[in-house]
Amino acid sequence: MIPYTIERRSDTGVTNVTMGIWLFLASEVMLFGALFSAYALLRVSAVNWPSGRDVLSVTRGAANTAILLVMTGFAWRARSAGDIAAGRRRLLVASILAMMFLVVKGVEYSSELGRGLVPSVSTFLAMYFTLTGLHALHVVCGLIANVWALTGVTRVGTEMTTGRLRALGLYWAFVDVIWMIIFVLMYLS
Amino acid sequence: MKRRLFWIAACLSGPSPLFACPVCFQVEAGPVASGVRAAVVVLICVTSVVLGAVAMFLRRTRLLSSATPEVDPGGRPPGSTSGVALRS
Amino acid sequence: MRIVSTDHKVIGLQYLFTSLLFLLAGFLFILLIRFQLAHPGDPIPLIGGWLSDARAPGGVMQPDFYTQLVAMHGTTMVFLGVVPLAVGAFGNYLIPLMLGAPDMAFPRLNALSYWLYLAGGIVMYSGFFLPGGAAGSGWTSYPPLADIAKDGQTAWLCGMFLLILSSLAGSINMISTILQLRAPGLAMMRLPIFVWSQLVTAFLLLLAFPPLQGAAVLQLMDRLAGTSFFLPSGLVVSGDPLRATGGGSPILWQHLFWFLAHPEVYVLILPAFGIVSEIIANSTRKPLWGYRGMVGGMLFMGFMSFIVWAHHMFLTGMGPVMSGFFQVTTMIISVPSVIFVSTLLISLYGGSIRFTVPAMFALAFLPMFGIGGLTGLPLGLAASDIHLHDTYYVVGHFHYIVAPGTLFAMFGGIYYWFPKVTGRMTNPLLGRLHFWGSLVGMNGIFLPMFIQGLAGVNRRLYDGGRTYASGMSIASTYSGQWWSALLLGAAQLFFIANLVWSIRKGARTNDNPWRATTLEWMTTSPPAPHNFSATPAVRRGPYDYSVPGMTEDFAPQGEIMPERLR
Repeated sequence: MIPYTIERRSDTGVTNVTMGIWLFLASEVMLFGALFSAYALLRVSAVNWPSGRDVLSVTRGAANTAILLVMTGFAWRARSAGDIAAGRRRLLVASILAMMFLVVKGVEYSSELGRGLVPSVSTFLAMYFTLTGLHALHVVCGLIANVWALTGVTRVGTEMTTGRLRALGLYWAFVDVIWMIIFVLMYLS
Repeated sequence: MKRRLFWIAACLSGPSPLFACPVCFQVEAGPVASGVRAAVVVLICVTSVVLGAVAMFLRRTRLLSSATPEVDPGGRPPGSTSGVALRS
Repeated sequence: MRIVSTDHKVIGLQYLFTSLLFLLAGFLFILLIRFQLAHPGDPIPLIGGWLSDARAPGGVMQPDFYTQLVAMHGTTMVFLGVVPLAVGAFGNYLIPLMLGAPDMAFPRLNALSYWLYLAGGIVMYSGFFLPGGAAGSGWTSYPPLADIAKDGQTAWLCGMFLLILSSLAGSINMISTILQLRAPGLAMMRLPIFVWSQLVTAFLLLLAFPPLQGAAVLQLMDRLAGTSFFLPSGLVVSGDPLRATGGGSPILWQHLFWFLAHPEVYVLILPAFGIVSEIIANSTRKPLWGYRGMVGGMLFMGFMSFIVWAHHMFLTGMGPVMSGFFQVTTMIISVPSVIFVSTLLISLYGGSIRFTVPAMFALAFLPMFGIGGLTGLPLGLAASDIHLHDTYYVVGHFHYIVAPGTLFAMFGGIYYWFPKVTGRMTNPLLGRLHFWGSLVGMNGIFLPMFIQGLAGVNRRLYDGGRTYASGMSIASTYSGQWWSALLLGAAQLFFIANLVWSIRKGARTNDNPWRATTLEWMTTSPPAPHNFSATPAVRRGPYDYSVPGMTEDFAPQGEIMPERLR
């Protein structure tokens, strides 16, 4: 009943899908912004706040940062791909990179938990696990969305898949930006 | 009378818990107050950026002007083309 | 009609019935609370014997149960009752119709938002069946109490998580629909005020709820993972030091919670403004005065509502600078509300008012909201708030806004759009009985609260503050409030009877019995599944009533263009 179109509406300049994804991302910015605000309160009011370098593995964090940057490049270019096949290929590569991110994160978590660095030990660790955990949850959900977009082409057609690729490209860029802020706040400072 | 004198003396005897109005509890710049200030600043900045983006979108699209839309009523709705796929 | 449907009208009605049931539940809690305050220590009449010994041994309410009722009453009314009714029911049902669209922009997302809402409500209420009972830390879930409370609090947090997801889905849908699916000719400045109110409301929900989502996650981490986001060091509970890491801050919760909860109160009132505007324009047979002012006022209110939240935290020791900043922004935000009510009052002047049942509710809204709004001013000023914070004055203030304010607008809206949804009219006599009973009952409950608050009686006290001199001085007012609550309950019986009877036996009517101008009245009553037989073309503003030179006293906003001319 609602006609699906990738043509933009003339007065707003966007499609329904683009409007929807930007609104969703605005709400996500508020979510992570609130958590960064919580970080500010806890850190400024803390008597002692450890330096991230002393507690966490900056190497692994930096590796993850690099993985996400490359992944975003592929996801972004999947948006503007000339044909659906190229777009799907690029999204597939992006998905593999996202999985690599999760593997590195998993290794990091098991190392920390194994050393007894659990969330209840300190507010720093509580903040670290919450921020990175919520971020990782967003990576997982994004991966599910990628799979859904990649496998749905035959069912929904090229127009809808184009819309989905555009939305996903924006989403992964956002996920990357949030990671970089987390990296700076938790690992480097 | 004695009670009254006692309380007056207590009030006048310098900083005391009696002055502890809950707005600041006489601690102007403690760690918690500084923390709250930092948190409020961060959240207001994030909110301002997002709301600013919303405001810019509304201005850019001139949706708020009362100009009549360019599509003639009775013509095609804005944005639809011949390549429309209908889904229910 | 399928149970799992993507049709916005079905989803709107699902929201309507579910939210009305939750409102009823929240009201039953208040009957218990009002009885307890009027007759502390007495067995609850009629149903006292049904309650378990943990809650009310011998029918006498336990303090623990009282706090659960208070917390669940607030939570139910705000999150499970009023907002789903105002946005989920009215918004979902009417917005596509008012825009000339066949459905919302994302119909499947719409369905998901309803089922998430139902699931969230059920999860929250499951707390009543857990050992320890439902959440009892206020609708505000303040730590440290909420961090160490029984399992019902975890159920509350999980339910809240689902509700927020539902709300986000709904608001994305609402904004996309309003901006993208307007019929040709329907410029933004030709939208009915109701649509504008839903647009601003959706933005508030979209941007303000995520911080509470984050806070709920943090509180769940505190409760389940042993973290101390909100627990300071050195807490002692019942004589024993609390075993927690410490280093957290209860003020952090308040900061994040009120960041949502202040815009939330504008979410509670803006749809009501929208509904009242529609009814008043229609009932006075003249255009609303100051349309641009209303739109500008709502937009300004929406933007400002994000920077006033810490006026709920004046007494947390933030300091004069912070308090001063939020006091200023709070005073500023009172201006658009005054503009709104003033423009509605001016709109009445020169009108030919039809005193239908919806019109009575809409007219009563104005002075009632006026009382609620004006009593907010001493709360927004930090100096006077020192005395009034957490007293019954606050309770009276917000109840005047939400009960004879928003709920009256909702009732008026139900009576007004009932013919559109069902094709039948409601019974006017039952409607008037509902109106007068509710008006008197609500004022009887909430007016004494200002006196109680000024006397210094704190909120959420199981015995109504009788252990304190302040409570003893006003204890005689509780009895009148109990009788008013009974009257209010009786009035709702007329409402329920009216709805049930009119759905089957109400007088059948044509498509536009109120002779209204907005697009939803241009189609059949009830509307067909695809809403309009053809996309309407809009040629006018939304309130062309009594236009000089026309034969009819109203001009529909748009018309359905025949196929061959498109």
